[in-house]
Amino acid sequence: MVEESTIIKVKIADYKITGKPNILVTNGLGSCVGLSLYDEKLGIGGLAHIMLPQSKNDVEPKFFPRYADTAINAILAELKEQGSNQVDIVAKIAGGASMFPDLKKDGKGVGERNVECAMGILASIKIPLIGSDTGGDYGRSVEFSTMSGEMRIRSIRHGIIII
Amino acid sequence: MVFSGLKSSQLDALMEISNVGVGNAATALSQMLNTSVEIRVPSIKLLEISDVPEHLGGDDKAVLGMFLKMLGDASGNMLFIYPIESAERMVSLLLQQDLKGEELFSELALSALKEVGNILASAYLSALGTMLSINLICSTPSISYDMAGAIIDYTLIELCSSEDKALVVETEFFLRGNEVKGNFFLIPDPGTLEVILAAAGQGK
Repeated sequence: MVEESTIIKVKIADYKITGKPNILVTNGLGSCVGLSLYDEKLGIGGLAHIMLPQSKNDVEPKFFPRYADTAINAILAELKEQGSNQVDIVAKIAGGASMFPDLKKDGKGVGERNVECAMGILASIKIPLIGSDTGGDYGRSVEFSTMSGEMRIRSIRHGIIII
Repeated sequence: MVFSGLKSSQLDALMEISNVGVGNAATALSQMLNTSVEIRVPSIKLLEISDVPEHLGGDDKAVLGMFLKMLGDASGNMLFIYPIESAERMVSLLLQQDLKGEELFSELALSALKEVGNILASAYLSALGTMLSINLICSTPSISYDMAGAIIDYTLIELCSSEDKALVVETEFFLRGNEVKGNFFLIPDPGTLEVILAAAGQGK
C-alpha cells in the first residue's frame, strides 16, 4: 500500500521539517530564497523561506527563519536531533530574483545577496549544494518531496523546473 | 516595535487621513477615464509579516502588481494589485481597444497601467500632504505580472529588518460596477509613522 503524503505549507519567514512521504511547499518566492536540506538515508528534510542574508548578533529565536545563517543552523540542528549525520545532508535552493530590477541598489539586489550568502554558508560547513534555480525577474513556488529529494519549481512565465 | 504601540485614536486618525486620500484618488481616476469609480472605506490592519502575502489575495495567486515608493517627509511603499482580468479591462478602457493575454504586456499597455498607478498614487499623496502640511511625492511605478507573494516580498524584506509586524492600509476600488476591481495598499516605513501622526496632531 502506498502511504498518503501530507502537504505541509511553509510561510514566508518560516521553516518546517518533515519526513517521508510528506511534501513541503512554499509559495511566491521573489527576492526570498527557498532552501531545502535533505538526508536521503533517513528520508527527512527541511524547507525554509528565507528573507535576508545575515542575522544580527542578538536575533531572537522566533526570527531565526528570516535569515539564511540562522535558518540553516536551525534546520541542521533539528535534522541532527532526529538522527542525521551532517555528511549525509545535501542542499538545494531556489528564488533570489529581482522582481523590480530598477530598484536595485549598488548593482546588487537583496535576492542576489540572499543566494550568495546561503551558498557561502553551505560551502563553509561543507554541505553540498546539488541543485539551484535562482535569479531572474520572476516569482517561484516550490514543492520539496521528502520521498525523492526533488524540488519542483513553478513559475508563471517559465513553467516547471525540477532540480 | 513602533507599530505595536499604536493607540486606537491614532489608528482612527490614520484611517481618516487615508479616507481623504483615496477619495481624491478616486476623483482623479474617474476624471481620467470618464467613468464612475467606487472606493471602499479604507481599513487599517496590523499583520504578522508572514501573514501579509495571504492577505493580499494569496501568495501563489497570479496578479498584476504595481509598486511605488512614497518619498519626501514620510516614506513607505504603495502597491496596486489587480486580478489579471481586471488589468485587461482597465487597459482596454484606457487604450479604447480589446487586449488579451500577451498583448497586456506590450510597452504601450504597461505604460498605460503605470500612468494610472502614478495618477492614483499622486492624488492620494497630494491629499495627504495638503491635509497634514507635509511634502509627499511618489517614485515612478514598477510593474510585474506575477505571484502576489513574489511581488510583495521586497517590501516585507525592507520592513522585517526592524519590525515584527506590518501596518497595512488597504482599500478596494471598482470601475463601472464590477468590471474592473483593484486593491490599493500603503505600507508605511516604521520611522515614518511618527511624522504622519505628529502632523495629524496624534503624536505621543
